[in-house]
Amino acid sequence: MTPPTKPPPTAAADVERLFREHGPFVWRSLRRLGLNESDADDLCQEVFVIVFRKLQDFEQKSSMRTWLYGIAVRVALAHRRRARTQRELPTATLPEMVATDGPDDRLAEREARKWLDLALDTLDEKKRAVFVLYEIEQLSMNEVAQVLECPLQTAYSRLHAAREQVESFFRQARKGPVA
Amino acid sequence: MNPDRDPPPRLEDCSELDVVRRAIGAARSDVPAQERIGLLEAGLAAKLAALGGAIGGGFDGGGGDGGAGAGGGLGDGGAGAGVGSGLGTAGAGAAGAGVAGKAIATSFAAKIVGSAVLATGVATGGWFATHPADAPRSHVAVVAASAAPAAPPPRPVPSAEPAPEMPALPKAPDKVASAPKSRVREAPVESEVELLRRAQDQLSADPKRTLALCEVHREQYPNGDLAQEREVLAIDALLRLHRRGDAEARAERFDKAYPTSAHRRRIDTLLTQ
Repeated sequence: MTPPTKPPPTAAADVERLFREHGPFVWRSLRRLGLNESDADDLCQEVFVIVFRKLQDFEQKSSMRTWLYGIAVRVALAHRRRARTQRELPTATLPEMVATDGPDDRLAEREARKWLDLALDTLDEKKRAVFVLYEIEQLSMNEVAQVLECPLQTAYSRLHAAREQVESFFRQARKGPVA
Repeated sequence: MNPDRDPPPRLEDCSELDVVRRAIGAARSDVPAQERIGLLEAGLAAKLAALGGAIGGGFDGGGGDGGAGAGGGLGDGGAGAGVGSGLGTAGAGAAGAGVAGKAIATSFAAKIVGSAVLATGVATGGWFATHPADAPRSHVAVVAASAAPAAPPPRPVPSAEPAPEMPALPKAPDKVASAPKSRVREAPVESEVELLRRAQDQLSADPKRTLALCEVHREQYPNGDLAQEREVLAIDALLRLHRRGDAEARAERFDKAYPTSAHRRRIDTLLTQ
């Protein structure tokens, strides 16, 4: 029998280093998974508190990145199930998004994100997670399947359905208020 | 497992809809500003410190400022280690960092350490001593308490006009951190003055730790009397960490929250140095 390998030291400094490296992307994924900024702040920290507690159990079967995203997805889903937050559907028509080089650029980006969030809100949580991890966080499909602990083919199916739904939402939004 | 041989192109690159490509691009650029990350990191350090103390057996694991981390796995010199020992030790060091890890575990010891910290701080002329105009009213209350060790632990003196909370980030204690924190709070937590004095004492040697202690203060005393002093300390620490942008942003928020504060001149001085 081989002796168990000694776990790496769970040091706060390690977790802080991980936070500096991955925190912004964890925060971003939490936002697109449906959390507002304030909740994303709190839960981003919570993700790394969990990391602090679990780091010794990290088995390196997956990359640190996929492990972190897995925690983030579970934390976000749990929060949303508790909060049952519901965004209001837009009553306006999707405006033209014109690229600008001026100070309006940031405003246009914010508007674009708002519409994307509305589109993502139409997805069920599994499709949403696949879409966010693949299209925004740009994980590979293998990594997406690992994070969500589902078969690769299932991840592909969800991605396909999510893409159709998101594009359909934007097409509809161009025509007029979303029903 | 099937290899990820032929992944579909990302929608950002291939969608027929310009709006979809733009929206995904905008989402990808949505990462927190550096200032927000800094505040989140400071908040995380505080939570880890609280958690580390609990895991390590309620601050008993440490052996002083340098080795306190052993109790909660916070001993490798990072910010977390700083805060971890900070929560459990007397920052002034005169009381003996070696006993300070245990000090907070018992009210009697904590009172002794708290008094020692305050006495040391006053004697050595810390920031409050050199800025008498900045000294808060609750300072007096703590001096009185330290002079009479049998008295109950000093509590923050409520202000007639509570200082407005800085419109910064995070409220805080979440579910994960609340358990250990509540343990910390059940112990005789050091007063606002003591906490900030420790933050002040670390300013030259370890401004990152000062910043983390400021975050601890913000969480423990969200409506404390010393919110303004904390912010000045935090701005000073940010500047020492060469985070001028964050310092200026924090100073701007300070101006909005406390437009008539006497500390504004000091902040201006700090920012122009």
